[in-house]
Amino acid sequence: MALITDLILTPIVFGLIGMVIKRISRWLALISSAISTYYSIQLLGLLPGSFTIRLTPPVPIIFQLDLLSVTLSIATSVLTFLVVLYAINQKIRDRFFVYIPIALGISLGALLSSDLILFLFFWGFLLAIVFGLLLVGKEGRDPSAAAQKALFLLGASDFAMLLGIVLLLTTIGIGSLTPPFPKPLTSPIAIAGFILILAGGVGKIGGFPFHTWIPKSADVVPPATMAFLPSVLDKILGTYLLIRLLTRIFIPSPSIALLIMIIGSITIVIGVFMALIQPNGMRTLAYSTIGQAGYIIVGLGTLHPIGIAGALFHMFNNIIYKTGLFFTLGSVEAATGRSNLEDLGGLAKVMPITFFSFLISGLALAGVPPLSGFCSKWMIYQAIIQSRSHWLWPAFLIAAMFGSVLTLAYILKLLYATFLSEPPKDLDLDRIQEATVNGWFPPLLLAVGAIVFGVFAYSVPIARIIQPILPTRIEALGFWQPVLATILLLIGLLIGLLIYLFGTALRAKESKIFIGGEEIDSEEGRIPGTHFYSSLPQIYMLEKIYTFGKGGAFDFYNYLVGIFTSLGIVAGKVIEFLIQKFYEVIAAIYRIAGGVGSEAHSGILPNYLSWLLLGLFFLFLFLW
Amino acid sequence: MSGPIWLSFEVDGLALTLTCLFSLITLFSLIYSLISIRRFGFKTEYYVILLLLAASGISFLYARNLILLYALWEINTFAIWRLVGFHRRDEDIEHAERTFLINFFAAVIMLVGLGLIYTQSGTFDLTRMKGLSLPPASAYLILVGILAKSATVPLHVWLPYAYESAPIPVAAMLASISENLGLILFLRLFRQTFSLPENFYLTVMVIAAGSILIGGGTALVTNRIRRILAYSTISQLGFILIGFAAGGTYGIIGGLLYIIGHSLSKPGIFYAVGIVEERTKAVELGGIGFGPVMPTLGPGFALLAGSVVGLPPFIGFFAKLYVIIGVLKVNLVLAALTVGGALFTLLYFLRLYNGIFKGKTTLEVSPSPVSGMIVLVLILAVVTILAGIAVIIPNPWIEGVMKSWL
Repeated sequence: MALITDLILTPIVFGLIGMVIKRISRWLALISSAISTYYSIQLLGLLPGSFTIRLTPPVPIIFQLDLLSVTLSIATSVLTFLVVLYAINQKIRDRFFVYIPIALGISLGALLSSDLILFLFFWGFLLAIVFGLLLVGKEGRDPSAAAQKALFLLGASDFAMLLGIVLLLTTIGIGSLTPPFPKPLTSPIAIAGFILILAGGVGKIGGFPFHTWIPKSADVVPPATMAFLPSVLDKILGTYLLIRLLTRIFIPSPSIALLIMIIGSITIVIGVFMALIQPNGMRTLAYSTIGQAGYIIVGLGTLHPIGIAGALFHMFNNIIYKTGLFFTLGSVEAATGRSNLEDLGGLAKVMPITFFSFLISGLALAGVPPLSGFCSKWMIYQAIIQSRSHWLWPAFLIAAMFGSVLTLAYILKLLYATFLSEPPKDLDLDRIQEATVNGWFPPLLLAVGAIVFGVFAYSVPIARIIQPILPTRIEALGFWQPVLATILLLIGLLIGLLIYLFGTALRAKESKIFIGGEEIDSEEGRIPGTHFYSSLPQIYMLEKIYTFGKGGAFDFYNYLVGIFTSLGIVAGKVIEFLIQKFYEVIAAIYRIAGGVGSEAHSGILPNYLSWLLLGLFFLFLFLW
Repeated sequence: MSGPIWLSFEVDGLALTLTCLFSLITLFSLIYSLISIRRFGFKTEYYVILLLLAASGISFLYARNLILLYALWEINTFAIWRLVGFHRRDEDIEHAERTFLINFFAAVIMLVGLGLIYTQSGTFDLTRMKGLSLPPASAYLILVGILAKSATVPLHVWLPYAYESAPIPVAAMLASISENLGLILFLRLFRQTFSLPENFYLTVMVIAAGSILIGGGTALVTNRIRRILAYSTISQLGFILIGFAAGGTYGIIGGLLYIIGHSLSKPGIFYAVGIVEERTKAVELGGIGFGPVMPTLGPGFALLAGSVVGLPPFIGFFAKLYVIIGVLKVNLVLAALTVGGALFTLLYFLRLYNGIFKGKTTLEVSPSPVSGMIVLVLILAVVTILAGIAVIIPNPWIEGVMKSWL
């Protein structure tokens, strides 16, 4: 018990101390995430367990430990440590290091709490901290518009979840994230509650239609924030909630599964297509985060054991390589001071370790075998095929597979534009240095992780992490033998290397371009990566869709704000106006009556006499 | 019981807690007044009436006699009338009259209802009529008074005008003391003393839901800062009323927590707005850009707004959560509307925050001694967080209040 409260409170307290003593906040953040890692590994010794602090109202504080929550706690702590390590000597304001440990403590609380109200408390608290974290912008950028968008979209999904949870509490009597056995989704109220909570989970993980804050934040907040929020914290918490919801709280029906898979497929398609055309590395990665969230949602939506295992595996892979990608592009940005792809190029020579990490993480993201992304995507495809829950399943499969291909496309674009293309004239490569140790080590470590999780997919992550978490056995998956494939691949690469070394490639001669005695501007001949796929928006149907997208037609935020504003106008300008008018009419009637009365009492004696006579007349009339 | 027969008081946990709260806000408003009222005339009257407002509000918590309750109610209305018209400009006097007339008119209707109770029970003493049934007509008549005092649609029309004219400390006290009196009367009469048919409570819930949405919606499209705050108060009072009307443990505790949360954060917001007004003379959103002028005021404002919106760990979160649970136990649609109202709150506070603290300034910023009152804003911001944490962590104080209702 004390261990859990220590685990949750230590980072929060360290963060609060950092708030007071700004100078040491960076080190406090690092130390507290290390302590959390240690504590959360200790939790493994307490499994399985349930811990209660107090049962009386108002908030019963109950924690529940199982392998899922403890594993995810460890993952959160470790990744937070890496984020802090990476960011510790970067030019980020101290407030960042105040919020990070607080956010860590709160997320651990959300992962470990069993009572729904306690969970809601942590979940909403995290929203407040996320808002603060997003308000810490890059130098010279104002992040407040993006942060507010995030606050409103996530706030809307949180309030939806609050309503859903309260609905479960009051009408169905589910008060816990880990009830003894799941309930079937039969009554309309249960379905309503389920969908409302689903909105919370999808909103957190960054799925359609709550995703639009991520790209908006991408180029105004520091890369470390992007690495921490959408790619680590939100993925872990969102996946956690969805797994709990789909496997522990409810037994979902096929139609619900269809809904989830449609949401997931839309998310994949949006993420991938938008990532292709971004002129900025951070924005590309932001859309990529969204697309990968789509895979997790689709995998969970299959409701098939392999699909759920695949989604969980994909979540782990995703936080490993996506964090690495954000780190490496962040290092590039820190070294060059630029983030637009057009202004970059040729950095592979001067930042070799960063380049290598980016290459491995990027290929893993694209799902190139034998790296980590391949196996988890493979499991998700297999689950879609095996579950065949609805006749639409080929569409989901196509969305997922196409998404994977196009992911490779935008990763190659990023790779080329940042590291391989000819650098622009004004970028002086000699003055750019490789990142410092804490800058290159975390992404390199994550790249190694991506290799390990890919090559030894069955023996390490699935057998040791995923399988123990899930109740059902994960069956053998086709004929995919990652170790054998790797060996074959390495042999292939070796042959390629030999051909390169002994073939004609090295003997090529480079000479200056000469056309009619004119000097050719080297800038003109340069091909920056931004032109890749730039013809994509010109394809007939896509053109219209992209134009719509640019106008904000797919942005749920605009619709939501629009709805509330128009309701506000109805309330404020119409109803409120009518009420005010009503009172003014009453006041006018009084004023007229008063005016008539005062006219009548003019102070002239004959007038009063005639009133008297008139009164007597009426009196007689009535009394007769 | 010595003294006149109608002088009957009773102490309970609710009254004690709210006394602390009301006294705190009165103290803060007095401190604020010492700085901000200095340069105006009628100072003696101002302080006397300000204390009268506080005293009538606090005694109202303990009173258990209908005549006494009514008398304190009217004293409070009188105090509001004098204070709203404090600046004595033409429009202030008109606003004060509007405030007084609507409140007085509604109170007279309420008096008829109180009279009906007397004809039914033969006593004015609340402690002696526990469990009696009440003719619904008298309940509705009393409701008119409550709606006017607690600024609920459709009798809220005085509040925007009152806020526009009242000095800042008075507006803070209106929000945190006077307007709660109606809700407390509702609790004392219709929850503690009488039991009424279900459809009465349902009617009140519908009225309150309408108040939440109309108040929230209007706050979202209004431009004058004080009017936004007025409609925000109207909306928030709707949350409290809907909780009390829904009843049950959650509804009532939620409503009580809501009173505490709202009465702690709204005065802070008013003080912050007062500082901005004093230094820039701004009355409307847009072109204020106050953020860089006082860098700590914005975060303080944001914390208080977060409490009103209902984000954890502020006390506003638990208040809103329990109110929603309480409402959901009665009616699903009303609960959904309540959640929608919460989103309105989020939106209009974002708009208010942007309008005051973001953007470029086009106004001349002058120094003012009122700036020192930022301390009050920050203290209240910290108190809302501490109060929220106090709800989770076991402590005798909150539990004592809750026990008196469980």
